[in-house]
Amino acid sequence: MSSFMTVDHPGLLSLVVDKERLGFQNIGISAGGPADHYSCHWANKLVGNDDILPCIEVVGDGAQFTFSDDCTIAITGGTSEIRLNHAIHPSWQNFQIKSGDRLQIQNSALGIRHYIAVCGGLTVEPIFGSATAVTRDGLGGQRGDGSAVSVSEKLAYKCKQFPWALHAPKQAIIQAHKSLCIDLVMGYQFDKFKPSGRQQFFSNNYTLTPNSSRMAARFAGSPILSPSDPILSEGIAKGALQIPPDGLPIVMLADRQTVGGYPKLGSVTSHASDLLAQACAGSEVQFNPIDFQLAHNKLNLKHVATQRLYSECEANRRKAEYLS
Amino acid sequence: MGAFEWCVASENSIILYARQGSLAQRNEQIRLINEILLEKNELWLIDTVLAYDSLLVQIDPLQIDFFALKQAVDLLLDNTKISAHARSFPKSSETAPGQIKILPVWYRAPVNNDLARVAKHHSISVDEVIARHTAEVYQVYCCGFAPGFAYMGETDLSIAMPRLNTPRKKVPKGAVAIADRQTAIYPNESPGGWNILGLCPYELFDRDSSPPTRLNVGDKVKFEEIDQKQYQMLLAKGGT
Repeated sequence: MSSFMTVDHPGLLSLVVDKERLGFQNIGISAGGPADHYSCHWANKLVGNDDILPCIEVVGDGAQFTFSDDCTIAITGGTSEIRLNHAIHPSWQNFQIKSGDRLQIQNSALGIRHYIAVCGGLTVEPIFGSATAVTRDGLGGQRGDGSAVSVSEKLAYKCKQFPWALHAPKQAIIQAHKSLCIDLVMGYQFDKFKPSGRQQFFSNNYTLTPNSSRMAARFAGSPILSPSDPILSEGIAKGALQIPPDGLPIVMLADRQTVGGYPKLGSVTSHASDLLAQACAGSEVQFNPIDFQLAHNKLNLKHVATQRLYSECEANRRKAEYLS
Repeated sequence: MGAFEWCVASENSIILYARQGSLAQRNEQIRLINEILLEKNELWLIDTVLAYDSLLVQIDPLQIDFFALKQAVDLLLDNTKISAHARSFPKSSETAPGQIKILPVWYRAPVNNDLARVAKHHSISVDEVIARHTAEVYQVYCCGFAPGFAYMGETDLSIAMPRLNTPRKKVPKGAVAIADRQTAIYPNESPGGWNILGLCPYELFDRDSSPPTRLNVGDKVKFEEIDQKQYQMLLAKGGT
């Protein structure tokens, strides 16, 4: 009999996520993957998983799970507090779980998505190289058909323990922002937009709307003029910012379709995609144009900073071990 | 203008465009570049997305910087010009050159059918719409939108149709549809804005098959009219 976590309540939406499903975009299969890659990677790191392994992405409040056997878990993402049995703990650290323990995700002050990782990962059959659930494609997840996690479903895990206590350094924890400055890498049809339209776009404030999802972030605000020449459908990168005929931006996220024919000003950075995935409806967004080289510099610096935080987390653990 | 252009798409991708020749030629050039890239399998290559006349190339920005990437792409495009004539196509698909995949269609199927509207739009009869849709040999230019969805072109100008003003919330599985000068089959029930002409009984995506898609870029395809009885028979056979 394997170990499993029983879903007592899935919150607003709980999905199995895994690393991106790559190599099949050419036959129309979406990449998927965690909406907030950064937080998801941290959750895995805190339970000793080197890379992203199948774990749970939870949206909203009230998700509740019961564990059948001992294991090590970590919760990251937007949530500020979690309830383990009846005690309240901060998130962004790992916990040793005992058989029968009950986990509840509390109100989220920092963002809308939370990640629950288990040491060794959830035992979910990969399909096309990943277990990540993409509902629109009908692929991945516990049942293999892209469906969300539902009440009383049992999610199997290896009964593995990571014996050391780890917590993310304070600087690693994502912050809540009601107003965001989003870096946009200029590209695609950027030059086809009228200069006045581009200027207007970068000086406007946009409001994130409630019909945003894992597929795309949608915005309200003052529309800009989209180029009228039709373009042939082409590959959509993660973060691609489309301007459909109504003139309002749509940022394509993890579960985006592989190709599309709307003109694009470029793409927001991966860091920005993570921020948008955590932002709640009503957040104010301003876009900041950057070029490919600057984007690379920022990405490299961010990568180095994250690696340093991982090391710090490890070093703290060793120090604590030594002192005990 | 050169045969190829490329530009930045995102922090970790660039997009290449073929700019010379007919759509079929441009598509062939793009497929060639895709094959060369996949064959080379450089450490920095993550994935590609092939479309009509473009190729989105996703890279690992921790493995290559802008300048090295620019050099690699320029070299690739130079090589492509040279080897374009030396290669034969298609390779990525199962169809041997000259072989045509036949897809049966039950036109006039009573499902939100737009045949009459298309006929009226062009002041021709419904029979004429069907005749023109079945007359052409189409090429698969791109797979996307959903797993197994193949964009085929180009339809006769005399049946070209704009997309619906308001997309339908539900297009039935197997719906054969047209938009502009493209035609496609919806592999599964989904929302959609194309004009529906009929139903195809075939499964277009089977996760357990290899390849999992019935139609692949470069394939040549022709539609053939069947009646309700034939449709139901083929459907009962499991759409194979």
